[in-house]
This record gives sequence, structure tokens and C-alpha cells, in this order.
Amino acid sequence: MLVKNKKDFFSGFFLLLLGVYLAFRSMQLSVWSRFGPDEGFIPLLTAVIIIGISLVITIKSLSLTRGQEKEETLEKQKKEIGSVFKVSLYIVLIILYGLFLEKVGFLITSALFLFIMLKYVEKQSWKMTTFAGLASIITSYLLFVYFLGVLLPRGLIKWW
Amino acid sequence: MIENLLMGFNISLTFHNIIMCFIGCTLGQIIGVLPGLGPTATIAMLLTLTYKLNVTSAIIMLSGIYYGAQYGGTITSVLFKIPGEASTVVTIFDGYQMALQGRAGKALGIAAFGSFIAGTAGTIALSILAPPLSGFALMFGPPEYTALMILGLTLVIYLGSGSTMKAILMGALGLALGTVGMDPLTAIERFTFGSQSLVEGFNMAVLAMGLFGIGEILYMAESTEARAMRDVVKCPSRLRELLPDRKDWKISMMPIARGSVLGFFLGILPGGGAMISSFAAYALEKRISRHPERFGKGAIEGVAGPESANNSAVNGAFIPLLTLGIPSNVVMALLMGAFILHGITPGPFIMEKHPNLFWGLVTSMYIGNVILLILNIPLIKFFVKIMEVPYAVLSPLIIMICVIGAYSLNYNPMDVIFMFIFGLVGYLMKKFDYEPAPLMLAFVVGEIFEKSIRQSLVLSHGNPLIFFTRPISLILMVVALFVIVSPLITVLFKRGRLISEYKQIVKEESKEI
Repeated sequence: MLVKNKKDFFSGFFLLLLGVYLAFRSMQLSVWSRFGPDEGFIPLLTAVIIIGISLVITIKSLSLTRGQEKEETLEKQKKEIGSVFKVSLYIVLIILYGLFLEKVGFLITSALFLFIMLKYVEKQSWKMTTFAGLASIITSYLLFVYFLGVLLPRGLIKWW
Repeated sequence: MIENLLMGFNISLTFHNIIMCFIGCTLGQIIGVLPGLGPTATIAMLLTLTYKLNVTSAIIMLSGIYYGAQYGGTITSVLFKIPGEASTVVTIFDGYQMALQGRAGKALGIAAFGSFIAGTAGTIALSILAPPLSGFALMFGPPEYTALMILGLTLVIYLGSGSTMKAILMGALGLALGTVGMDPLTAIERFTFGSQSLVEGFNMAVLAMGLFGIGEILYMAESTEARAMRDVVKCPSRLRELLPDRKDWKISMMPIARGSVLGFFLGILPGGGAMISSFAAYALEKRISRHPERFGKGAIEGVAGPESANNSAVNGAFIPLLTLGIPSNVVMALLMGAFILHGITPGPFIMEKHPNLFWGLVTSMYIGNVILLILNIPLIKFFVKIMEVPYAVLSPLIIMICVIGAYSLNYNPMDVIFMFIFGLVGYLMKKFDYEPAPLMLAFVVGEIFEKSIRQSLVLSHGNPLIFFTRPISLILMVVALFVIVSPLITVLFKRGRLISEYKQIVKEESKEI
């Protein structure tokens, strides 16, 4: 048995596991009482649908015969690694931004986030980094704090 | 109705609301111009901001984004052969050809005027049809609501552009995500893993910002094609170039009228929306034309019909939300979220309980269409310039707005983490060819659906036949079953030749784009 469609195989298999877990957890809730369906009813129903369809997707992604496999060029592989690295950087920076926003404060975290994103991830010039960074911080500060009255975390700098 | 409209204009014509409408329309126009970033992502990102605004102003602004985006998407379709919006893909077929022939101004002009006429006609139809439909909706009990939601979800899934199986899977996942938190009937905690942040369930805005905002940004971070700009044809510089002449009007009047009517009714249909309306209008025009061979080679009616249809579809889409409380597409689901964030449940009672909001919103659409016409004709050059802003600069700003927006919901960093997780899910869904729209829609209607289905089954002592013994729910269930058993689209489109043509067009033309 060979994998014909890797995307469908992995996603289908993952969702199958998720469905099984959801079904298992739903059964720990009350599914049906003498009055009718209970709190476990919809979760179990959705779990059954997820299991059924993800099973079909996984099976359909398999093939009994070996198909023609597309050979990836070195250049394409390099490009893909590069884009995965960039997305990973985005992810790490967003997590750090979210985690430090409250403790360090809006001004410092936002300035650092924008600086790293613009200068090192997106490789913009110093002029563009400074201009876009400052414009973004000032606009969002005015929008959130003055216009919408949002209380942004002050963190380490208390004077603003 | 005249009284109600006057009351509505009293609200929508206040300085504050005109400004909100202007902001919404301009933002919509801008994001319509930017390929990749659509009204769904923008409304998702701005949901949290509008929480701090007055509810009427917030809804007026968010709605402006939706219909404004339909206008904006046209510019890039005609001038760059890049559809700013899915609903303007069809405009490329003839619009870009017209631009190559040096008639870009006429294409943009007729699109703007057609959109204005259709948008206004759609708003009039919404004003007329919504009140009686609301009365009809009062006859709905839990079984009818369940059946309606089953039909709605079924249509959304079957009319989606991707794999039907994957769409059903995403719908089920959306319903499952909606069950996290306290059970709406028994108040028992489900899947909270002991976390206080999950007791209330996932916040709709957090899910939407993650799936559509962060997910989109992550996807664009790796996709170089999405950032690249293509050949640009000459942008019309003088106002006269944008005004269609008498001959253009003569050819386009009927397509605009047909597009307006077709678009409005397809917009009402769950899962219909602007994209399908524009394709259907194009197919219709091509089929009834005496010179179908002109289509795809710069026929002005190939721009006028679809552009009118996608605008009136937006108005039609408001009908199910405002009368039944059921969103017919994902943007409407987000607008429903905005209503709920402000403590208002859209539905048949909205006209009675919140007439100011209802009529204020409806009348703001008249104003919005005028604003968009004014914005479109003289400012096309400005909107073309917006395309030059690099994504590299836009994406950090969008992430920052999303992070602060998520945090400001409850001043809880956990919301930012949840948003990031959903962003990652949204990104992976795009990578693995799963559509996020059915997930979002199912999540939004999840609670009402669960309540209705359980209440119905309690009423019938667990007998599912309750959905087939009441006339309205019977009709809705039969239609839903029909859609499931024999793909309705194929049947409809084969008989009317409309949908088969639509599918063929999508197939042929998407190869070219």
C-alpha cells in the first residue's frame, strides 16, 4: 500500500485520531437521558462524522500501485525550506509577542516585534523599518488608546 | 415602511455614522484592492475593535467593509488581471480584455455604475422583503430552526469551491469546537481541561482572527506568488475616460438589471453569496447573448452583469441574518458575531426590539453606495497606488492589530495564544486544501443549532421524526436531504444549464488566470 496523496493522508490520519479522541471524551459525558439528548450528544455526533469522513479521506489517499512520483528539484526544495523557516520565524515571534505583551508592555514589545519583523524577517531597509515601525506604533496607539479606549499594558515603561 | 426608512436615515445620516460608513467603505475598497486580504479577514480583525463602539456604528462600518470590497476587487481585476476578491474573478474575463484594448476606464466606469445601481436596488429589495420575512420567521420553533440550519450548512458545504467531503469535515469540526465550554442547557463543562479561560468557550473573534487573519498572513509569508505584482495596463487618468458612453449604457442596462435581480436572490441562498452570483450572472449573459463569441474578448456586458450581481448579492445575504438570525455565508457569520458581541441576537425580533439598528443599517447601505461611487470614479489612481504597499510592511502591522485586538477582548494573554493556535490551524488548512469557511460558519451557528436540535428532540421524547411532521421543517429537511443525496447543484445546473456553464467557466478561466 502506497501513499498517493501525502497531504490528504497526513491530514486525514490526524483528523481521524482527533475524531477518535473526541468520541472517547464525549462518551465520558452523558449522551442521552430519559428526556432526550444530553451534553455529550453533539460532541459524539460530530466525532462520528469526523471519524467517518477522515477515514474515507485517508483510505482514498492510498493506492495499491506505485504511481509516478514527482521529483523535486534542488531549487524547489531550497525554496520550500526557506519558506518554512520564514513561517516558523513568524510563529515564534507572534508567540513571544503575545507572551511578553502584558509583562513588558505594549510599547517595548510592539517596537521590538516590528523591528525584528521588518528588518530581519522581511529584510526591509533601515529607512523603511524606521518609518513603517513608527507609523504602525503611533497609528495603533492612537486607534486603540484614544479612539477605542482600550487599556494597553504599560509593563516596564509606566509614564505613557 | 417610509416612516421606518425616515427613522433609519435619521440614524445613518448622523455625522458619526456617516464617518463610520465612510471608514467601512474605504477600508473595504482598500482591502478589495489588495489581493489575498479579503473582507472576511478584515472583518475578523476588526471585530474586537468594534466592541468598543456603539453597536449601530459598528455594524454600519463592518457592513461597509463587505460591500466596499466588492467595488475594490474590480480595479485589480481590470487593471492587473488579479482578482482582489473571489467575486471579481469573473470580471477579469472581459474587464482585462477591455483594458488591453485601451477601454479600462469604460470597464471600471460601468462596473462602478452597475455596482451602484445593483447595490441600491438590492437595498430597496432588502427594505421591502425583510419585514414580511421577519413575520414569517416568527412561526419558527426549534425543529424549524434545526431544519433551516441543517439546510444552510448543507448548502454552504455543497456550494463551496473545494472538496465536499473536506467541507463536511470542517463543518463537523466547527460544531465540535463550538461545544467547548459550558453546555448551553445543562451548564456542565465540556472539554475545558480545567482551564478557566475555556469555561466560556472559544471567543468567536479570536477564532476568526486566527483562522482568517493570522492564517492568511502566515500563508502569504511563504507564498511569493501572492506578493508578486503582474503587468499593469494603463490606468485611466481623466474622469471622461471612466464615463461609459450612450452605446455602452444601451448594451449594459439589461445585464445590470438581470444581474441585480439574480444576484439578490442568489445572495439570499445560504452558501450563495457574491462569488456564485457573479459567475451565474456571467453565464446567464453569455447564454442569452446574440453574440456569445464576444465574451472573453472585451464584452462590456460581461463586466456589467457580474459586477451588478456581486453587489446586490451582498444585500441579499443580509436577509437570512436579519430575519431568521442565520448567516448565509462566512462574512455574515462574522457580522452575526459582531451583533452577539454587543449582546444582540439577530433574528425576527431585531426589527421589533432594535428598530434603530435595523433601519439604521439598511439606510446606511444607500449612503454607502453613494460614498463608494464617489470614491470610485475620481480616486481610482489612488487605490491603484495602494497595491504598491509591500506585504512585507503590511503583515507585521496586521499581526500587531490582531494581537492587541485579541488581548483587549478580555485583557487575557491566553486569548492571544488561542488566536495564534487557530492561526496555525488556518495556515495548515490552506496548505492541506481545507476550507476554513464551513468551520467558521458551523462554529457560529453551533450553539443555536445544538440548542434547537436538543430542544426539538426533548419535545418529541427523542423521536427524530419531529423534523418531518411539521410542514416548514419538513420542506426544509426534504430540500436538505435532496442536496445531500443527489448533488443539487449538478441537477439544477444541468437542467438550467446555468451551473454546468458556471463550473465550466470556473474550470476554463481559472486555468488562464
